[in-house]
Amino acid sequence: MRNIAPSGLIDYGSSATWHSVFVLPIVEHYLLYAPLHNLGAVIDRVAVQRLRDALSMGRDTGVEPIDDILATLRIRGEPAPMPRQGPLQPALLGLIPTRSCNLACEYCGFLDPAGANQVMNLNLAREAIAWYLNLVHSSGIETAEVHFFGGEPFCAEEVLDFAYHFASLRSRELGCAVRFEVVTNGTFSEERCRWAADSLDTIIVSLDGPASIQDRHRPRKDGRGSFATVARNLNTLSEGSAELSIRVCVTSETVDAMPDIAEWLCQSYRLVSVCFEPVQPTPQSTAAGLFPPDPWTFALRFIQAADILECHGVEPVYAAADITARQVSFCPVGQDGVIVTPDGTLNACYLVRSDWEARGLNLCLGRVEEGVPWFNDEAVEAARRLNVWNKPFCARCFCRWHCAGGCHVHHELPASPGTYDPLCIQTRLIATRNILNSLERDDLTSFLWQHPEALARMAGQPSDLLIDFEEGP
Amino acid sequence: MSDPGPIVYHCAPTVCWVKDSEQTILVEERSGQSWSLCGPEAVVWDLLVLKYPADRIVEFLAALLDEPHERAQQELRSILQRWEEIGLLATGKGSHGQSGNQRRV
Repeated sequence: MRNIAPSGLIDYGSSATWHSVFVLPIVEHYLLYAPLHNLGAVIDRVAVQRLRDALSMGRDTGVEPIDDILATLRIRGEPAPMPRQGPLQPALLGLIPTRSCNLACEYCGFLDPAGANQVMNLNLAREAIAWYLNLVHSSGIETAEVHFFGGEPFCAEEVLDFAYHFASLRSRELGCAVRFEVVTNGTFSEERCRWAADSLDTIIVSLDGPASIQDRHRPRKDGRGSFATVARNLNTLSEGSAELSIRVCVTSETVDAMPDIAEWLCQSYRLVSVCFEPVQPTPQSTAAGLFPPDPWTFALRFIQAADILECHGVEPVYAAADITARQVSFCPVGQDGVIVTPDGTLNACYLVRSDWEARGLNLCLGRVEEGVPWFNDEAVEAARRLNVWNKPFCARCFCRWHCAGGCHVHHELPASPGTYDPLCIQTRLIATRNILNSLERDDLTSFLWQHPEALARMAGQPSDLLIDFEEGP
Repeated sequence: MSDPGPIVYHCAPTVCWVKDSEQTILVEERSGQSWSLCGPEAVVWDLLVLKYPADRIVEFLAALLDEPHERAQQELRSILQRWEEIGLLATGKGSHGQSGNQRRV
């Protein structure tokens, strides 16, 4: 047994315990996982049965190792994550300087037909930042988070420069720190690259692999490849003070190359993390013949790539399977995140409006009018209701507090319990690996993948809750 | 005779700089003398490095500091004059200047 982290106060037999203690079959072993107690343990079937019975009856078993686990489970861990309440308190301010982009990625669904070439007015950036920093200051938060999304943010460099300097000056006046993060395609000029490397805190560059992949997936608008420029800039960014992360979009064609891509990235650049995400199907990606990978293959290749990355001290990321997360929503929507678009609307989500509307969602929280951000309280509450407590499908899944049901826009949850879709399957497989890795039991991950039937049983288990554990032979 | 264009400032070839969240530190390589820039001065340095023309820097300063255009213009002129006098800047003619001496400490 291993406590992944220490925990807190006593709470015997609470429902929170029942609904946050999971058990997963790992061939002939069982993985007990209680994320809110920061507890993971590899145990046998008899121990699982005794734990379930002892917890339900509020007594000990008399078996010391099991009672040690019981003692930990009876101590209240972290409170179950809850949706935000009260006044809006954004965890981040997102700025979309423009929706335009200099690339023509084959799979891109971010182009907004309504405002593709619109650039944010500097006054709008100023007003949004001033409002946000005042809120941060009055809330006593030490560090503000300003994130730039696109399109390609560097296609509106003046907005980015202005926002950066205004936020820096204003935060200095208020006595708080500010972190800047940008998600970029990395095709900027050399001097802009040097600036970014030494000015921003986190830079996330989209790079899908070596030239043969990158230039096929992410060509420039004129048809030329983007790889050479991105590779050059990554060398410069590797020398800077900014934390550098790579985001790799994976397709059915490139999934088998994930371990090689991981090794190559680590050999080539100084990185903090590499994030692998399957391509999100769009009409554009389908037309280009780019399809999501098979979830089992994606998970297997991710696990192999993760082992390589970790050997180099680089964090492997598949966002939905981040077992350090305790959250009710996968994205800024659950964190009161406010995303400012070039037309002045204030949204909970950085995706384009037509994407949410297609799912019947309204993620517009308000807008900036006459220099003042204005929020619709009902819209804020509606966005807060998009949380895993309102996703019954997730209630019995051990990833509940990590992936929280995934993207509200792109992940349509299946109807009946246990009918996991590809996103669920790969999340469950990778999260299991991450838990076993944190317990230093990578041997069990290998063992599990050598037993396909056991792997399928684990991944497809309709309920992971300990209370639902059924008696067996 | 063609218009030579506005005077363009760029940092002197022997000046290197490094940034952190609080300041920009400049070092004159030959003398070892150093300067710390923060606030509006750090903004001006950043924008010069990024080849912003002076008139655009004035507009930025006015908007950033919420002050009249004329005052921002005066402030920029004063900063540039001081930097030129102490050898941090070189001048040239042209529409966008040059930045070939951008290096880090």
